[in-house]
Amino acid sequence: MNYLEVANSNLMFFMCTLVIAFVLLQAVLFIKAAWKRGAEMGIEPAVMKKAMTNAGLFSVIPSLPIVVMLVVLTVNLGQYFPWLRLSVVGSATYENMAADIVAKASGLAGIADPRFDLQIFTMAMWVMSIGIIWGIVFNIFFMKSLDKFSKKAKASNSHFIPVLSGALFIGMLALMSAPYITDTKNTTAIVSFISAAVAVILCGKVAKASGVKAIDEFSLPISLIVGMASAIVYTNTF
Amino acid sequence: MNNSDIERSRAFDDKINNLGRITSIISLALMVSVPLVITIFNKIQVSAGEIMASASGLIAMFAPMAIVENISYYPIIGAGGVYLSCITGNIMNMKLPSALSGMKLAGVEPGSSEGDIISIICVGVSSFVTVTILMLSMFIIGKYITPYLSQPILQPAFANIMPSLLGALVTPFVIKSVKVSVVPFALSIALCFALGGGYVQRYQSYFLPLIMVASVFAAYCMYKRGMLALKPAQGAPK
Repeated sequence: MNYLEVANSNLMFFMCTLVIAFVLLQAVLFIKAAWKRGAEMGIEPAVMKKAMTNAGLFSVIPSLPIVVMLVVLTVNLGQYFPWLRLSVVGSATYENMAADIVAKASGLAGIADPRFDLQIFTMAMWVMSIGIIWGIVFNIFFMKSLDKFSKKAKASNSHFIPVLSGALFIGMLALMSAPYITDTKNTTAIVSFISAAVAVILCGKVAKASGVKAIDEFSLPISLIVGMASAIVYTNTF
Repeated sequence: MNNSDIERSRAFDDKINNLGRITSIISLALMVSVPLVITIFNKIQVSAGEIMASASGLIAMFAPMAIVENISYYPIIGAGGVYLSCITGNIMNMKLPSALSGMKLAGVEPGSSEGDIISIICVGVSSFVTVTILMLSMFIIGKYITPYLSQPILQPAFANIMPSLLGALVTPFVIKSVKVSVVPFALSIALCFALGGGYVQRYQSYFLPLIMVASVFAAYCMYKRGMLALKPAQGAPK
């Protein structure tokens, strides 16, 4: 039996849909709980709505490369399983890597090898599914304790907490940014970084000057597009 | 915050942790059930030994990374945000930026109770958008938009999503807290020059705790010396 028959079977579609439906349900349950608690705490519904719109609009752009990966993975792994994998924990790079490791372990050149068969496909499914679940496993066992412990620490140190979380995420963003801003061989990345940085500042200024708050509210998606567009312009001019 | 507020906030934390645990267990079981059901139903012979042999390398790589990352994300997006984003992945390029920009928009601090609420909402919406886009892509638009998305002229744009995103994300926070930013940026940039940006990126998860601890330590010293202008601690018990 050709493995693609299994990969594109109704059973596969049903199983993948089941997982994805549950993932969506989970998101709804969390949003509902947070919304209720937010209202109770006195966060304006309008503010929560704004945050929602912003998150929704912004997420469209980073989703597009995933669409491309979906189509690429579909060629070798069938229609449904890549759809599932990219909708849940997996990232495009990981899925490709995991499937490739299995193919190579079975003596093939890669997932595009014509000898890729049902058995190897099934193994790839297993490996892709269990290789990257560890964040979830960690959460199941330890997140509650971590949360309890840090809430206690927060209660006794209330003034330093905003400084602490600020320092933590600036640390994270600094480490992530540094490889791009120091990479003198790939100046396109530097150009994108700076253009997006300028765009976000301008968005804030223009919004203040013109009184159109929406410009500031959507400064992240706007600046992201400006950064990406400047990469195109830069590569084509220099 | 009076007693009933503290109780309510505790009740919400418990609710989120229970919801997080239960939905994580179910999602995990469902994810593994996909290869399981396919294997059993199609009577495919696979050896658990071979699967583990292929998966072990990935597990050795991703398990420690997952632990470090989750502990690093927690102070920024809260327990609810971490539970949710671990299920749908794409944390760095989507979930974390949506949450951070949502919090900025709502005028709340990351790590505060209000921040946690906004994070859950943003991460949830972001998951929803990605899943929906992938669903549409699989069923309808994938075939049509991929040729456009894979146009060579657009490639620099997609290759530079991360630097654009970081430029847009990092700038407002750096402007807001210049002093806190100095140490983590100087250290990260020094690391990149010493070891090479590619190396730092590959082992990002392992450098992350180092930079975050250094950043917090520096902020703590400045805080103790009264160098940081204090705003009232939002969300912390008053």
